[in-house]
Amino acid sequence: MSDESHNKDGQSVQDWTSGKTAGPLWIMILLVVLAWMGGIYLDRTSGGFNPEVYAPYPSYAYVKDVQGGGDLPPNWAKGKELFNLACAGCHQPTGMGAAGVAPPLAGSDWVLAAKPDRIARVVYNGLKGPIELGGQPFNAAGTLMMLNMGQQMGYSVDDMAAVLTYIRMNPDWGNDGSAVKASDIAAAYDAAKARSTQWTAKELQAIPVE
Amino acid sequence: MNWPPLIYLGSFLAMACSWFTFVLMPHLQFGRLEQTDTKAPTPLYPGMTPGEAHQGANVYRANGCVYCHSQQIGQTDVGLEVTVGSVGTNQTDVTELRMALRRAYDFVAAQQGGEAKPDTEVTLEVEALQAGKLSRIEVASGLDKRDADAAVKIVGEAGDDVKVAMTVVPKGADLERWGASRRSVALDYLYDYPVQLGSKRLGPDLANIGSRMPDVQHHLLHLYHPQSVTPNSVMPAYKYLFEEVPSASPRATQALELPEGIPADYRPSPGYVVVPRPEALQLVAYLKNLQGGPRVFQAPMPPDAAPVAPKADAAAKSN
Repeated sequence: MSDESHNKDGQSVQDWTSGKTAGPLWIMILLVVLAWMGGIYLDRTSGGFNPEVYAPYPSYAYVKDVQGGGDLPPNWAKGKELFNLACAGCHQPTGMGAAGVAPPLAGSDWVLAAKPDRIARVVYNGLKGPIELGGQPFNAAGTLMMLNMGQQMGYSVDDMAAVLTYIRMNPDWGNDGSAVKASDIAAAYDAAKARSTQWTAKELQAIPVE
Repeated sequence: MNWPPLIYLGSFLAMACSWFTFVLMPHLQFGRLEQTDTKAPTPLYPGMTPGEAHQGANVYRANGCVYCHSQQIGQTDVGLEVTVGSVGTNQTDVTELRMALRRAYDFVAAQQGGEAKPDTEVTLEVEALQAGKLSRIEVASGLDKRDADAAVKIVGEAGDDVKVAMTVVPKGADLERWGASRRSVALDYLYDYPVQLGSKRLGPDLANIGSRMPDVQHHLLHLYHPQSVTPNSVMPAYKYLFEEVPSASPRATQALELPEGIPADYRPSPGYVVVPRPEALQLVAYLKNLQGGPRVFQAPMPPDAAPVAPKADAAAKSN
């Protein structure tokens, strides 16, 4: 038969172009709803795909907020860097010092005095001769000497304040002293700058720290 | 429509998305992890595995320990604690703190239910804090973030001299059972290759086994004959990690002390003692080196956290 529904070999032929057919609408709607629910789930539990955020913390901001130990003054971190650069070699990163090398800073009554005037001078000009730490003599033979680290490193008032803040407020060392601002040690800094030799304990005792 | 190129493009995109999400992104996020500065006592964490422990890692891998033991500690919840560390010295500070604490306790009681602390107790604890008899006042614990922030704000109204702190207390079944102070994070496995996370817990988790059970002899005996250490253990006996030497041999100083009830085939022949081979000692060194890590940014924990003691019944049963 020769009509449009059969080709010349007699096979039945429909309109074989691949036209458009509509898929079932309910599947489309269901997929959209599922995608939306998936989005909500990801929003709540993915932590923004941030590699620092682990379950069950919901976001990076949360993790940052609950770190704890956050009430350190802004120059503390800088003080830590400066300390590790110049001071940790002798006083150790743990602040414990080493016998025959340097006295401990952790729990030291010199460090934790009410005012930082004495230690500001020591940091800048160095120290020589025997001193008393917490009533115990240190460096009794006078063989040890602290160099003028602050002067050599060219510390500014802010640098000095940062280092002093770090050693006075280091929670790992158990030091809970007060922070040091540049204005607190302005006078000490000037006095230290004017001096070219190290301090001795006796001279420092004359400086008030209460 | 020219379908073949479109089909090719479609499957390429599907595989590209998969590669991007499961290979490229994780590498970008974790592939450049480095040692981190943790403050104290060892400044850099993690450290490279020390020599014998490194060999022990290969023994662990060769014996397939990972098929029964996991090395990851999970965490399911977070509780936030609000504490007051100190109060100023003058009387106005004390009064302000007392009033702020009163408001805080009422707020917490409203949020969590339960009774707010009576005024008399509040007065007593503020006085104790000021006198130094109390190191800190615990205002509330187990709060969620919103309530904790609000409580911190309420107490903070007492003035600048009051040190309020919000500490995070991680909670979870794993933490309790294995006595860990924090969950495991990717940084803990930085120098492990391959990472032996494990996926089954036929045996206990080993992430902090070194700090939980530091006794070498216990580990050696457990490897030699697990059932004499843990009566109903399903762990196979790793007898081949041990050998017998004559009692007079210099190695006999390392002899295992075998308990009474051990089966006959685990007893050494007369005149011989059981000693660990180097592999056993390396494996135990590896286990001893598996200690939970110190504080890291990704897993906050309280500042003075010591590891929690593992639950006693779990320890007896499965350690």
